[in-house]
Amino acid sequence: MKEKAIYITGGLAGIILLLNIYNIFMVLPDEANQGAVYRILFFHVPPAITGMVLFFVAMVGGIGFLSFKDFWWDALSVAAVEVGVVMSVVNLVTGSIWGRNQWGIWWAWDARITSQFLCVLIYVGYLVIRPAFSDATQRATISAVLSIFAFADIPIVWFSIRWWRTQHPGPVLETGGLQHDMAMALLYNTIGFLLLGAALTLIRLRSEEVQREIESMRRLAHAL
Amino acid sequence: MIEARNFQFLVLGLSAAWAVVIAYMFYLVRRDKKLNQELSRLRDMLSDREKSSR
Amino acid sequence: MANKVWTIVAKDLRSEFRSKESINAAVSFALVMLVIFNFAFDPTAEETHTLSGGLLWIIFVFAGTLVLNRSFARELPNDCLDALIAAPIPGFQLFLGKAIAGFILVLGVELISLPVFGIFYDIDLIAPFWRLFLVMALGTWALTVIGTTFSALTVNVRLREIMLPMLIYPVLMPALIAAITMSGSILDGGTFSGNNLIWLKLLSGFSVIYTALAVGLIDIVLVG
Repeated sequence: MKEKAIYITGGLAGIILLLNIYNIFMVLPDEANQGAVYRILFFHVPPAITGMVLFFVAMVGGIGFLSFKDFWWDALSVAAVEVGVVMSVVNLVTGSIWGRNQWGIWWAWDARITSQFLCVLIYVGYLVIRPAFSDATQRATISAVLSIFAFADIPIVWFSIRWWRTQHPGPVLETGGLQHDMAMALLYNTIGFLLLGAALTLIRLRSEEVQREIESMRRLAHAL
Repeated sequence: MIEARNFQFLVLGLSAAWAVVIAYMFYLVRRDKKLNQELSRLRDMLSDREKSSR
Repeated sequence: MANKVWTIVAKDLRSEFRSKESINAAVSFALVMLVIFNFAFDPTAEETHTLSGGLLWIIFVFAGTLVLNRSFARELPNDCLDALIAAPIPGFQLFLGKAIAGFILVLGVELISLPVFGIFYDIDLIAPFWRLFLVMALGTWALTVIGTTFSALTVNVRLREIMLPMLIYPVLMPALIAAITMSGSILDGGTFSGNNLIWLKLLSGFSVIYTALAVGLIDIVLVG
């Protein structure tokens, strides 16, 4: 059943993204100021949204583990964080390249990319500290608390850095007002990336469950 | 319909985006394979021990 | 309730003042950083004024983390931590006791470093002192809450000294930005109006949210 879910979400994601690529390249016109490069937008914003959704899912997983003590929730949490970090990295990389094109530098410390980078750092901390716990229950508990602390920080981080940037003005990545067909393309790509994120999370989740099975077998093997 | 202006950066951007995703997929697949190998190894070891202890 | 909290505060402070291990390390570290800064940037009077807020808080946060790292780690020898958890004191009171003790220690280190900073870089600290002190107190409480919580989280982890800063700094960043901006502005003669008021609200809000989260979740962290 899990396999089917993965294939369906993955397949849907693939179809949507492929169709949309045709749309993005062939159908949409160029933007006035930026030429062709603005099309990066369609692969810059959806991963960011997917990342944030996944970080929220990770927090839900954390709360779920603390409430129900079922390790499935912990597996969901770590899977969501990992895929969320990947999506956020895509956002950072595309943002950096876009910025290089627009402003000539690879990193301009504009509010959005800085906030996103900080969020990635927070969740990378989550991923790095997990292996440091050998006891599964302790690891899951600490991860759950971390996922709550981390997600609570996201809006504060975004607000504080944006406010700081208001006081120290700098470059802003122009996304401007979107025409209707561009907005639709963005919506389709967002759905595509959300499905892709879901598929990857499910795969990672299953992988985590296999790992838990291995750990319990190891304990059994040592006991015998 | 597509201008050549800034096109290189567009290609660079999209390639980078998909490179990250595909690299992660490779990582997932490799991890899965490694874990499944370990799992079957443990299963074999456990069934061997059970047989020998009987 | 206050009794138990103050018992823990007194215990931690007494323990620290007997050995003075973290205070000595933290103060020395702060002084060395002040010297390094001079060689790294060789600032003119103007430049120092611009950079003062940032420099102060870099020193405070790094030195403070040294102190807070010990917060729960000092209980590890002789199973003191297990004894504390088993003691008839609710988890959140234990946490508050340790947090308040840590706050006093870190604030102490800061107050020792501050006049040295003023002397080294010829910055007037008398006039803006009380406003600066308010920012220091608020910022230090934010640092202490996060630091003490994560100290409890990482108490059993192998590479604690490295993991703790890695977890604290990204989560703390919004509070840090607020403290840095306000300090820089206050040292330049600013007050808590306009922009600074928003930073003040942000810092206070951050402290309130994370104190609430820490108090709510600390039992789960300590007991599992």
